This record gives sequence, C-alpha cells and structure tokens, in this order.
Amino acid sequence: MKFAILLTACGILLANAATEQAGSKKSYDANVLEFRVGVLEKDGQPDGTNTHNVALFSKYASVIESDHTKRIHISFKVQDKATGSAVKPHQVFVIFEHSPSAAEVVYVADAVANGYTLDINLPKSHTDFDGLSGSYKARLVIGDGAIKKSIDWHFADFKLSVPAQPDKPVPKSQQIIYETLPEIQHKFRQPEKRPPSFVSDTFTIVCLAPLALLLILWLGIGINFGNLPLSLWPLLFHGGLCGLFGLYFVFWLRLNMFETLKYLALIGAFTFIAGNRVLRSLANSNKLVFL
Amino acid sequence: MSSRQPVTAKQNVVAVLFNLFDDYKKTTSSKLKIIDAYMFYILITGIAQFAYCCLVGTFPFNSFLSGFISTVSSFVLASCLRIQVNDENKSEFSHISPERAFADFIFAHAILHLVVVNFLG
Repeated sequence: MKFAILLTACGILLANAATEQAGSKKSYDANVLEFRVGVLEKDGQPDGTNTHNVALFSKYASVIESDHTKRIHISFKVQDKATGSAVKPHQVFVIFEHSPSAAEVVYVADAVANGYTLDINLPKSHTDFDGLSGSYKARLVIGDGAIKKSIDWHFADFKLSVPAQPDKPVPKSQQIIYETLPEIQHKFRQPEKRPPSFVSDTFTIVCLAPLALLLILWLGIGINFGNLPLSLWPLLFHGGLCGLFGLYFVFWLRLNMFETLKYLALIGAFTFIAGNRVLRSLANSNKLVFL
Repeated sequence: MSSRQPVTAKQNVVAVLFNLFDDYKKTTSSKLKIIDAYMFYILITGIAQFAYCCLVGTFPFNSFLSGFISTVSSFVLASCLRIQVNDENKSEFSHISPERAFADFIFAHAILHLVVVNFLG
C-alpha cells in the first residue's frame, strides 16, 4: 500500500513535469493493442493457448485462476492512435486490487523492444500479495502528460491463492498502546547474605586476640620506658600519633576525604614536629632501645 | 638473625627448633625482639582475616581487602624497619640512623592507614 502511495505521488510529480513540457509536445490519444493476459507454468513460455487476447476497454469473460506456483504473464503494445507509432508513456502500471479489502498491489510494466510486458513470478513474488487470497480486480493504468485521456482499464478478474503470510510481529517501538502501562516500582538492591552475628563477632575477637598476645610478648621481652627523654615532647608525639589514628577512625565513621585532609594537615604537622624533637634527642643521646 | 650452631644428623627436628629458639633468645637484641613480636602479631591477625575470608565469605569485600592490605603492608613495613635497625646490617644502612628508620616507619604507617581507612567504606 505504501508502495502504491509512493508511486502515485511520483506519478503526480511526473505528470506535472510532463504537463509543463506538453506545450511543446503534441498531445495524443493512446491505444493499447495486442493485450494478452494468461497464467503460465513456472517455466512455461507464452503462446497462443495459454494467454488470451483482450480488447481495450473490454473485460476478459472468465475469472483467471492462479496459485502461487505459477506466473502471471501480461504483454501489450501502446501506440499513438492517430499515427500508429509506438509510444512510451510515463506511467504504465498493472494494479491488482483485492476485492473484499481493497488492498492494492501495483506493478510497473517493463518496457521491452516491441511494447510492454509484465511477468509476475508468483513462486518468488507471492509475498507482494501479503498472503491475501481471493478475487482480485486487475487494472491497467496508462498515464502521461501528453496523453489526452489517460487509461484506467479493468481488464480481468483474478482468483489468486497465495500462502498465508505469518503475522509479522510489530516492533515494540512501532506499537501504539493507549492503555496505561503498569507502574514502575523501584527495586532496591537486595542486601547480600551476611553471616550470623555470632560468627562475625567471634572472628572480630579472633582478629583482636593477637593484640593481647603482642602485649604479653612485649612485656615478656621487657619494654624499656626508661630511655624516654624527660620532657613534654614524647608525650605530645604519642598524643599526636593517637590523634592521627583517632582522626582516621572518625574519617571512617563520618568525615569525607577533604575534611580529613584538613585536620590531617594540622595533626600531622604537630606530630611531625614533636616526633622530630623526640627522635633527634634520642639520636643525640645515641642509645635508642625502644621508643 | 641468629647464628646457626652446627647440628648433628641425629638431632631431630624439634631439638633443632628448640636450639634455634634458644639461640634466638640469647643472641637477638630486645629491640629486634620487640619488632619480631609485632610482626608475629600482624602475621596471626592476617591469618585470622584470611581464615574468615575462606570460611565465611568475602561479602564486604572492600573491608576484607583493606584489612588484609593493612596487615600485609604493616608486615612489610615492619620487616623494612627490622632490616634497617639491625646492627648486623649497619654497613649497608650506615647513613640511616635507627631514629630515622623509625620516623620513616611512622610516616609510612600514617599514609598507609589513610588509604586503608578511605578504602574501608
């Protein structure tokens, strides 16, 4: 159907263009001669027996039947009625119109050396009929800007049987749905399965237990606090370190990186100075055993 | 490290280990022993973390990873500290005083744990 509309649009354009030229071109009456229509076997050749002659503006008496294994063959000549010379009009179409549904299938007749021919190879091109079997009106349409009276001739009735086409699924992007769609419910990501709190608590203790072991080992080895220089700096240094890791703890709980870096600069600078003092004094006394 | 005593073939493995441990206790300075104890503590903690990962699962994967990175890196840093303050390596690290090594150790820990806490989530 779209094809037909497109062709009609093209035809109107061409006709307009031709009409403009028609002033210089002599208009004429078209005549269709030697119009033969018939149904051939798949590889048959048209001859006098399998195609039938139909005179212009008459209609072939019987209904031509065909199924999708055969070919429909149409051949004719178009002449200038006055001079008898062959002409090639702009539009030479054969239209099959499905009777109940008015669906049209349009074919362009092929211009050959001596006239026009149209060979519809139904085994291949039965899909043009969209699986619509039944009776078709066949029309020949000849139009040109220079033709005085265009021809639209219902020349025969056909009864075609073509295999039904499977329903083509309409792509979702082309479907038009007027019903309200189901509401989209947001689905939160399901939290992953966690071990029972007993297991994780146990492992928390297991991971912390070596800390006690460390303290026991250190006490066993003997930590020497006596070496600390007697001043405020060691206290500040250790305080700074504790503050540093306390800051990291708060960072973990609520701060963001920028805030953390701000505080870190303060605490870090303080700890650095304090540590520098402590370690320098230890290095001077040159007897670091343990800090 | 401890200097090995020559062992006869008849001594069994346990005796060798005891001998080694006694030797370690006698010859290693307490400074290094403290670091060794610290490294042992980290090792045990890391093993516990890894056991949790194997037995229970890696669900808060970044938490596991940051904890494990913390232990592994602390172990590496402690071993670096131990190498640098060891008297036997004095010839190699003559320009680095033990105090300087300890300051590096602290500084590296401050940076490391900033990253670890950031990754902890």
